[in-house]
Amino acid sequence: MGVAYSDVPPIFVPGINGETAAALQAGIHAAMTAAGIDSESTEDGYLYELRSDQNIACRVLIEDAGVVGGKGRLSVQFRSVDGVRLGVSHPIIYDTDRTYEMTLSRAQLFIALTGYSSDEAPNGKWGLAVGGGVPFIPDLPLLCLQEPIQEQEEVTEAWWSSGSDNNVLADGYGFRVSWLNKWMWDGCWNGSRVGGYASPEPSILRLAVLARPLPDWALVRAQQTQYVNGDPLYIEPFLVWGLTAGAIGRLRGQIWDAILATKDRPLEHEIITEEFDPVSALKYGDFTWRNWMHYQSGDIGASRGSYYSGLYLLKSISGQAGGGESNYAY
Amino acid sequence: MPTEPIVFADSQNASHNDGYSGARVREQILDTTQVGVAEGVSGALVAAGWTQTGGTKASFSLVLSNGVPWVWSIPDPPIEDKPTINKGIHVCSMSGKQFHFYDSYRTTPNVGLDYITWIQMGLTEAASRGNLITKITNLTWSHLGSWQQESWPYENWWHLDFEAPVIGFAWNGTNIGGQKQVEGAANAVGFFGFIWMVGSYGPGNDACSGGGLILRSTQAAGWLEVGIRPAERWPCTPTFKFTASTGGEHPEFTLNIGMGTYTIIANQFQFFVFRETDPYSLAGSQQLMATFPMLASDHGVTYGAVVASGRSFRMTLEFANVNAPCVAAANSGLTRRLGEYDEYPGISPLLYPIKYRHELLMPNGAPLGEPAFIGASMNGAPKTVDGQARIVGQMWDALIIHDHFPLDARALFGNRRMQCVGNEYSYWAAKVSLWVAYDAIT
Repeated sequence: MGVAYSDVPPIFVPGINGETAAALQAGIHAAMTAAGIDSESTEDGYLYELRSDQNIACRVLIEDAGVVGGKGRLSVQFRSVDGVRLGVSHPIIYDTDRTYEMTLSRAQLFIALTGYSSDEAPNGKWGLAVGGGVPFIPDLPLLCLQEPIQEQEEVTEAWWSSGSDNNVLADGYGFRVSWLNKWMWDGCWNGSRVGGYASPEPSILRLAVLARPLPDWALVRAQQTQYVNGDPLYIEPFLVWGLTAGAIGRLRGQIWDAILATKDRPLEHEIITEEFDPVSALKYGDFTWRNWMHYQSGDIGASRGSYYSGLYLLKSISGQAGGGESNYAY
Repeated sequence: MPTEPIVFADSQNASHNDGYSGARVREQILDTTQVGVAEGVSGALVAAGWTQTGGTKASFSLVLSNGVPWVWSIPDPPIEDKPTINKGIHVCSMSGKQFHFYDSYRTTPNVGLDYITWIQMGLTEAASRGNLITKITNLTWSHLGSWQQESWPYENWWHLDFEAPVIGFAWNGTNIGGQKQVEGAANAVGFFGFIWMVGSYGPGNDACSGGGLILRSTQAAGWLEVGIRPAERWPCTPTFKFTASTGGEHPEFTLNIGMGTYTIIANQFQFFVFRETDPYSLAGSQQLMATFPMLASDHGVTYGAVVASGRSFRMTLEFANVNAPCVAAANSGLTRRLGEYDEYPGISPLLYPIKYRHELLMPNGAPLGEPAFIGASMNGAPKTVDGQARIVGQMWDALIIHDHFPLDARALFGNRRMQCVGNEYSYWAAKVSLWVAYDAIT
């Protein structure tokens, strides 16, 4: 599989105080600043600009949205650079006993309530995660059909977002619990933004998972893709969404600095890999990956949840720091 | 390592095949007889790098319970103007070549009939029998032979055993002539009966002869063999019997004949046989796939193999339904997998599909392609997680393309010439197709 490595590795920031709006916003801002993300102040927060190594950008507004439905929240909204196309406003709830963590780079960010995805979190199981940013845009894959040769359009705008649901029915989707989104998502491609609805289904933002052909019948569990020793395969975390409502989704890009396991993994499970320069064969270092996706609240069936997937984000690198130029290791 | 590249399993790449070299072959088998199909498949496998490890010679036994016809009396005066006959007393035939006795004192055989080999009757039964044996033994396209008298209480019976000179496929079919009277004789003499061939269940049955080859594919993990032979009884279809170095069952598959030509795409570890002329036919066995994949040895796989027939791979990449009999090995010997999809998880290639029945395209409409993994059920236990198929490795020279294409379409992928050998048509499954690389079209 191919990992889309950023020029500057992502950072992992744990222990972000989520008990008050001010603490949460300060913690997020500190993390964004440490990642080298440009920002400008707004009345109630900050407007950040995410820019990938492929020089594609979007913006994200993170501000105090006040108390809604008895819950105080920050709002995380991805948008086009010119501010014309606005994404959904993802809530991040602040309340007692809430601690957040972030994994972020200059192109993307992931915010999550540490230790929780779908189980009853302190003060409610919603408004606890959001991810989004600019995806890596792959060249025409090597194994794609070459005849006839089809030119790929220039990509001038691409961004996405996925967050936990905005209501108490949080078996509710979003990449924190599932490969498939439901309500709180965006997909924007060259001026065309979709999102914020559950249907028509074909266009909904999703990760391209390996789902075995056998359906998930009532008495037969759909198969997970794994080796004989139980190891999952690790594949590219491809992002798929349609251009318009109801349009069949197409592969738009790939999450940076991430790999996708082909079966459910424990929340925040970590694995360590050794990475080598493909040319010099010198070891970059030990890379630690942390699973961001897991549906905690039991088995909701293979058609939803994390049965087919575990999204591992690059957390840290020990040893030789940095990876030089973006290295699409394929 | 989770982040290691998943590469295209190239059967001709030494770093993939560990030095077990071979070739990619694609051939059309124009001969539609069972021997033609058997020879076509075996020839392609040998060309691809499968090695011959054994086999049998075709043979049959001719049992004469009442001898063969002979001339009881020489006409006096001699017959000057003997009639020319187009048939004599039919003894037996092999691959359509018939052997007929004739009375040289009374008839003249039409030697222009190339499907008849004429045998002169002797003046004794033994002399006639000797003429038959000599004629068949000296055929260039056939046999060595031996003969013996049966033991008591059949000591008047003669048992003639004929054998092809070399291992392999000899005859498409054999049959006996049946009981006949000698032409021109006043009484019924010289008839023969109870002639039967090896494998026949009794007189009068059209029996197909044997003979066959055993071909082996080898990797460091072991080997997979296929024994190919024409059937010994109706419906006379070539059979393919598989054996794994890890033991297990020895399943047999067949390919129907007389319904069109077959195409084979093969390398030294894998082959696909199918009929391009009627890709949607579901009648009978008209496709066969066997793979000894590039094993995922870093993930606990010590041996793996999958063989599938029926509706497999042409119309579904999920092999676990009643119309797709298959056998597979996952760190085990070969075990048959055939059943309803709700009984066996079955054997399922890894398709890289999306959950919903959509194609997966790049923004410009080009379909995504990924190497094709293949899974085999660990123990076949139904309805349990442990019974699920697990990945044993990657199919060689194969891609899963995330869209449907016309069966047998050919295209260039990654500078490799590839052919679409199957589509997943199940309504609940992803919209994908299976492509296999070949180097040249012959």
